Amino acid sequence: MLSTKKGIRGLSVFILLLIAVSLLSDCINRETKLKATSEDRPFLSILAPLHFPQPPSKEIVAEIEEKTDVRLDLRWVPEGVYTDKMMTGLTTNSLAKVSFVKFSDYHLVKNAIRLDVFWEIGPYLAEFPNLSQLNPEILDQAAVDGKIYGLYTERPSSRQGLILRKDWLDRLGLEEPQTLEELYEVLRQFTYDDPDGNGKQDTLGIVDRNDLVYGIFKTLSSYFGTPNNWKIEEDRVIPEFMTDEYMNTMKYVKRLYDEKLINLDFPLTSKEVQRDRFIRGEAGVLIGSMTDVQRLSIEARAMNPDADFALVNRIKGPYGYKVWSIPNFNGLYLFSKKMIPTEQDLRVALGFFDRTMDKDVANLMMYGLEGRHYKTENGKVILPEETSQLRVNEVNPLYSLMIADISNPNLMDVEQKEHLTQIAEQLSKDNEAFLVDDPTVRLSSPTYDEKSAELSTIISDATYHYILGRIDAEGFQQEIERWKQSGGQAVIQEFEEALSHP
Amino acid sequence: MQEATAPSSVTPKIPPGRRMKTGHLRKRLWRNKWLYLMLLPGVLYFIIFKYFPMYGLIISFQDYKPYDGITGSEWVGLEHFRRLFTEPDFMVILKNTVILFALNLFIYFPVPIILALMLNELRGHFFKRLFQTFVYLPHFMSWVIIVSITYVMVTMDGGIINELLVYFGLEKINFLLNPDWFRPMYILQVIWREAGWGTIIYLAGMAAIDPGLYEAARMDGAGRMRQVWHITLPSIRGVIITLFILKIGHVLDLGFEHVYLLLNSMNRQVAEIIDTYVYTAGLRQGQYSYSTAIGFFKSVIGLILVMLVNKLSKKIGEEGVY
Repeated sequence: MLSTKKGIRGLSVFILLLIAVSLLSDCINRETKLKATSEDRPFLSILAPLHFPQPPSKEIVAEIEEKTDVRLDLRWVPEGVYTDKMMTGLTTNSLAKVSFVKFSDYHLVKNAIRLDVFWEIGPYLAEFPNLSQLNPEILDQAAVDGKIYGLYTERPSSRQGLILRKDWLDRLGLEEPQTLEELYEVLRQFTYDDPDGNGKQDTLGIVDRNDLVYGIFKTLSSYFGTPNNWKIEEDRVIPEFMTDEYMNTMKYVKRLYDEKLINLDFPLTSKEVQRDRFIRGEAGVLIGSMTDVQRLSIEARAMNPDADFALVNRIKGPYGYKVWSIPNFNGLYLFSKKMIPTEQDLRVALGFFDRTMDKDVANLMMYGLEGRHYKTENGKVILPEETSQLRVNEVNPLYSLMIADISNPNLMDVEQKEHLTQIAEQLSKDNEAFLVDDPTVRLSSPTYDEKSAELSTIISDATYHYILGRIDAEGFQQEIERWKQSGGQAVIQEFEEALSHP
Repeated sequence: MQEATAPSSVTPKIPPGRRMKTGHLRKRLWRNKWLYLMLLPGVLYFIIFKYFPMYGLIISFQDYKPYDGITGSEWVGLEHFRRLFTEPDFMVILKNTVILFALNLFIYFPVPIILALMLNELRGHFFKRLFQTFVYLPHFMSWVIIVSITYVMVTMDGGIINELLVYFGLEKINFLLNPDWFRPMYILQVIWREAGWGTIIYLAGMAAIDPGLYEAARMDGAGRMRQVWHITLPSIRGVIITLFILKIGHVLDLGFEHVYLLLNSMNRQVAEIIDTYVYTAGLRQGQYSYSTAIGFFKSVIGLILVMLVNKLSKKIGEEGVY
């Protein structure tokens, strides 16, 4: 009895302490908050995707706030869950004032746009010195029913390519692969011929993740000559998965799977795990965005100083060189009507983005602080290898916020970049010689806007099932039939109608 | 206690009559004001968090558009329910849900009872406590952790279970991507996480059994098994039935988080259940009205089942839950 009483007293003292501490920390918090609000700047919340392990440094964000004269509430959402988060915000009507929408999710919000959830910003653009200079062609491409709703971000049309372990190639006496068959041979030897020379069979040819688009599949499929999402033949619109080339790609990946040249759990593998396995030297090839190579190399060398990387963007398939492209815009910033009640507030938000295109802010967001992150020489930027990791941690995430940066003349030129980044950018430029565009970018289909998520699940599930050997070609055809009945046929028809009545 | 004494002292004085009765009620309310005051937070909780949100069910009869709101959306009557019963996918999903539910009921449900019986037979306070704590612990881990640990254990590339299989000269098994393994994995994880926690109520029930009964049984020469069968089990029969009814109330409520974490492209045809479908159709594809209709349907089935089982248990002479 006595002991329990003591216990209770001890517990209550502990709880009291807890309450006291939490109250105290609350007070401190309030104080700092008070300080922030005492500055009388307009407030701007932005929902943006985070492509890096951590958000940018507070220091630089504060600097941006200072220069643009707003108070920023940057809501960073990891890229992997961005679509879910954005859709939840959209459906519960709780988006930030300004929200980013990836081009691949754009059709998901088109219905909302038509229902007047976002500001039509077209008429206001002329008031701003930088925004009025935006490329009218791209604005038009991203317009809905001819009206402009979003500020676009730019990316190179295709950064897709192969990142390979150069030191493995050298040890096995292999050349960089030029064709799909040579690539297969490299993957086979990377798996079975002990490329890391440790005497154990513990390596994989290639590592993939649970994404048919940004994983290896879509890039391989364009090497095979598969159209980019859709093909237009005379007046007919044909989805990519009804082509022989798509089937050939599936057979190729199935062969990789059957011969265990690829990680067998790839339909479950996350982007982080995929990168991690490549960095650790468990796999020798990664297909994806070539510009990642610098970060991969830094992390891999921290573990194994001998790790060396090569890039390949030209893999010859039956139709020569091909690679899929994204539209001229990579995504859009949309302005919520609910969160931005008046035209005056809209002007503040637009003004912020206008300001980010000015020389001082744009260079700050792109390269960071001079002296800390970069040096200048003859008015050109030098990005030393030593500050590479620092820039990844503090500056690079801000790139998500930059609109129309490629064509922005205010950005300083770079004199010297890290070696690998330079090659990656060169090869991305080389990709432009053989791009495969999506021919339906300008066509619209209400059924597609409404049902695309459901429809694409049918096909991606069927593709995985085929690769893992759960269904055969006939089973795949049945899934295509199911796709047609679930609305796919209607999508084709609507696209064809849109095609004949432009 | 007050309630019990109040009527007996008041009733004889007041003749029956409507007005008198309200006065009587008011008096009674006043007399027990503190008790009712204590009840208030509970009632408010149910009104605010359980009854008020039901107003959202309206959208299952509308073509709901979030930007128009409930007041602005168009009424479509039973359209979504018609779609529900004609959609081929729905039958698959319903089947998956019912199978998982059956696994829960027939495989998981007896496990805590058996575990509790075994714990109850343990002699020595220290060991009993120790084991109890050990079997509880998984309950406090979230599904994310349970599923991740499983993932690490059974993955094809370096998972310990597959390494063991290879060591014994067997073929590797792709547990995660093989639809046949989804259900065993599901139910094993449920047992792993919940079985220990489930024993608490049974153990409490067993603690209340009069030790004299065991003593008498021993005198009559009953062994351990006999004692369990004739004393322990009948004594906790009421508890078992109550928990059984409550469990049935959660039909179709199989833990969204858990199933969603296990769901992948390869096992979708067996792993998609009503809860996960409501999420994918509702939130990811924006079919709010349709997914609300599905959720509504699920709740109605749950309610009907609870009422049925409750009636049944009263019929066989046990107390129901209401």
